[in-house]
Amino acid sequence: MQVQMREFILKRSAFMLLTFTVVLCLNFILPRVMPGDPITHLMGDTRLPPPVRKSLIERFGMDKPVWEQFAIYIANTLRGDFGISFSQYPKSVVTILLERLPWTLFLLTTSVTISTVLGIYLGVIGAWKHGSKTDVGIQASGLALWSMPIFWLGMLLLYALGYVLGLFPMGGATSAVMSYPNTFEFIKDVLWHSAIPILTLTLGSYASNTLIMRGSMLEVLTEDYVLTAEAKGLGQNKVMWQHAGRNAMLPMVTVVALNLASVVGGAVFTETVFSYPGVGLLIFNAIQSHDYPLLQGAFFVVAVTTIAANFFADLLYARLDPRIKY
Amino acid sequence: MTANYFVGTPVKAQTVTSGGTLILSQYFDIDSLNPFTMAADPAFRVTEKIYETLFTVLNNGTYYPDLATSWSISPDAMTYTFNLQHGVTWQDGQPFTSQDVKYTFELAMSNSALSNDQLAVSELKGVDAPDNYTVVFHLNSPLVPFLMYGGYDVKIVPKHIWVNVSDPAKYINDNPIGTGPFMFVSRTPGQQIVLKAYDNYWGGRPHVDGLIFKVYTNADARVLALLKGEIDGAGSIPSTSIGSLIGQPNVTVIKTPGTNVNNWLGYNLRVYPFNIRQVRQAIDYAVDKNFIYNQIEMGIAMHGSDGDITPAMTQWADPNAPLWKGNGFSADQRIAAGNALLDELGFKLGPDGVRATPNGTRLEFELLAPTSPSDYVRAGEAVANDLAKIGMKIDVKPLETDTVINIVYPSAGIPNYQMYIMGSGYDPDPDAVLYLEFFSNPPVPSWTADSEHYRNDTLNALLLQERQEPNIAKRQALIYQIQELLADDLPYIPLFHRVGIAAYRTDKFIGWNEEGIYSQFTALNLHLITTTTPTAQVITETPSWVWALSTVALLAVIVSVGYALNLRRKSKT
Repeated sequence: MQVQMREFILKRSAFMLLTFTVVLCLNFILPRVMPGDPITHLMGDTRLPPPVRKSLIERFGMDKPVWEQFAIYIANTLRGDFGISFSQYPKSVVTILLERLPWTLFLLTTSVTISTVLGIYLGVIGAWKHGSKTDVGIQASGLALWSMPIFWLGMLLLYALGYVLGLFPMGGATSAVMSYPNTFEFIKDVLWHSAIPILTLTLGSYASNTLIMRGSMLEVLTEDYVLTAEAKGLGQNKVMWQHAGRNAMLPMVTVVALNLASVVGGAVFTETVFSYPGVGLLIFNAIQSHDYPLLQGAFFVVAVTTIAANFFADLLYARLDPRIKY
Repeated sequence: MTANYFVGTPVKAQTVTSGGTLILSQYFDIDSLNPFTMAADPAFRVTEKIYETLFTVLNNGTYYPDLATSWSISPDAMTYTFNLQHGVTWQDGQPFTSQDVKYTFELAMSNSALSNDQLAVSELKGVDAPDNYTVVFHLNSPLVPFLMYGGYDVKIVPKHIWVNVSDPAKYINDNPIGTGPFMFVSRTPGQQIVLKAYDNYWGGRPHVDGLIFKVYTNADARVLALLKGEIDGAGSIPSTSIGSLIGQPNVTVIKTPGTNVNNWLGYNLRVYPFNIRQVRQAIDYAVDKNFIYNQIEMGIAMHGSDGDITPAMTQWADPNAPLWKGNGFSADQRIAAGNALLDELGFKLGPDGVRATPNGTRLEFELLAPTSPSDYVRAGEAVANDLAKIGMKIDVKPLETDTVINIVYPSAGIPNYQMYIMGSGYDPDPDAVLYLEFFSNPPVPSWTADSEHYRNDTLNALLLQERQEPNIAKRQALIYQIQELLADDLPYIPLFHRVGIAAYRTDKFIGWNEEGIYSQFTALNLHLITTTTPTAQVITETPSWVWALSTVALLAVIVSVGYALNLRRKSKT
């Protein structure tokens, strides 16, 4: 078992390395195949006199042949240096990412936690009462929210809760104040500003968890040990949660890890709608301004996080289910 | 001989109540606070409050004193002398002198990577500072627009700080020190920039205590935030949102004319028959500029003036502006006049309603319309519709904006296109647009005039004269002459001049005026704004129920975690 485990980790690591290499290359290619170029986008005026254009091309190192740019990019990335941003020249990409990451991590961890818990809960209930009105209600509302474009959902919530009811601010992560009297006020302000973005992200992503949990639960409910548990006279909650629910939860580990990439995609839209200063908004602005180094850095972080999350999900799988052998 | 461009009198501080924090929106974050290399529009708006220039320009194109009180131009237009304000201090308390001005310009001259000031120093030979309050600029060749490029574009930086900067082009400048009315406090990337009033500002301390630029990337949220009172002023308002702002209590909506923004229909004069002036005039007659103004721009623009100077620049715009052939004629008269011109040339109407030239070339052309901003494609369709009436068949081809730019202004080779639509903004001096777009005298044709292959030697002579004429009245006459020539020769056809839309609230702050360009909210203007509620703290208070809700959420998390752990323990036993 130990040897097999080690072998598995080695195999997975090799595969990860391959994925990583592909990501590294795509990361360089994708921003550059977008129509347009960073120089024409940088200045407010789209037409630049040839000397200005030339000096900007040199400033960004774009006068070098593409293969040389690629070599520099690979060498720098491996050293953890993503270069200097075009659109926030002369700031380094790493500095910019570090400024923005905490906000996105805060939004994502909160909404992923809530949507996972909510998804599991509703999925279990739905499967337990499958075919009932509750089940249909859970499925219908989940599908409706899931199929809604997240920026539209965000805009609706912003309009309803922020403007019409006036309960929440119209955007940003904090209020426009000169300073805060104390840290508690700051925390309160941050929570207040993050409420609708988190709600939007949660509503937009809990449904997939619910549906998968429900499917998995339905399968588990047909197992003999559930019947046995019921036959033993165990209470409904005990059977539902401890015997069936816990076993049905296994696929959730993979789903949550796999969904991470799409949640980041959701964060791009959500942060843009709510002017939330995280990596999502950063990616959006970087695409608009064709900021290649910034895009490379941001995509790299997202890709590495997703790859790592999937790797750990695989490991966790073995821990959680002793039946799984590698 | 000297010329004084000043109008108006310097601002005097009045006794008013001060206080309050003014909150303005920004449509995206600034890129940098380095005045030499920043590139994005929001950065210019923020640094303009911190750094000052020798003078500023009002929205009609006239100059207004800033760090310089007056100046003179030598008769040969080679030497420019500026007299500086006395009693100006940097925000760190150091005195401002002519040495700072001299240093700033010399820095830009010595380092071509300081891109924002390269136009200003292109003809600069040297700078003298004979005393603490006088600066003398010597040019290599006569260039009156140096006043604009040097006086208005170059933000003066403190020598005592920048002299210690090893590479100014790569300097982050995260604590900018200027002479302006507001000083830098903090920046939260992606969120906001906080400024506060500079107590010892030479023009008198601003009445407001603080000034915050808050980023709202979502245009609809920006408008709603203004309606809600979360912000006091917002620029870059989409024209589709004007309806929801007009008539709302305490909200004022204004058009802010760009001083020099042209949006035009261009053609390649290498392509026969665009090289014939009467053909271009026929097009000018046929294009319905009123329709473009009313239906496509919804009245939020200015009629295109064929003299290429925005009518809002009253200092320079021809008194008859907006100029265009069809101005004042009915639709039938315009079409008839256009058809008559083409008939005269012997361009016969074919059976399908498309004219052909005597050598058989059908008047059938492709028009490249950039997809962004979105009104270009619609303007292109309107043009196609209009030109069909004079027997020209136009095929509108929407393309990504950068692609159109690269076709019309290729970095190498001869431009290969037929017609296009394009727009551009320029410095608020007539030379900025006229010389750049139309000067075509070899060996140094302007790169833009070269694209259209336009050449008019009378115009070239006038352009050279205009930029060497230090007398303002004489220069104005030359600029009028150029506009009339252009309106007749039509190297391209301006369709409209874009304006910006801004809105502000009048319940918390008063004293807004409409001076200033590029933005309603210039330093010159914000300096004068006063609060109506000096005692009330202008802070968006976080409601206390946030605490209650957070506590409930936290409790829920603790309870569920506890429950889960409990389950786990139970199942183990």
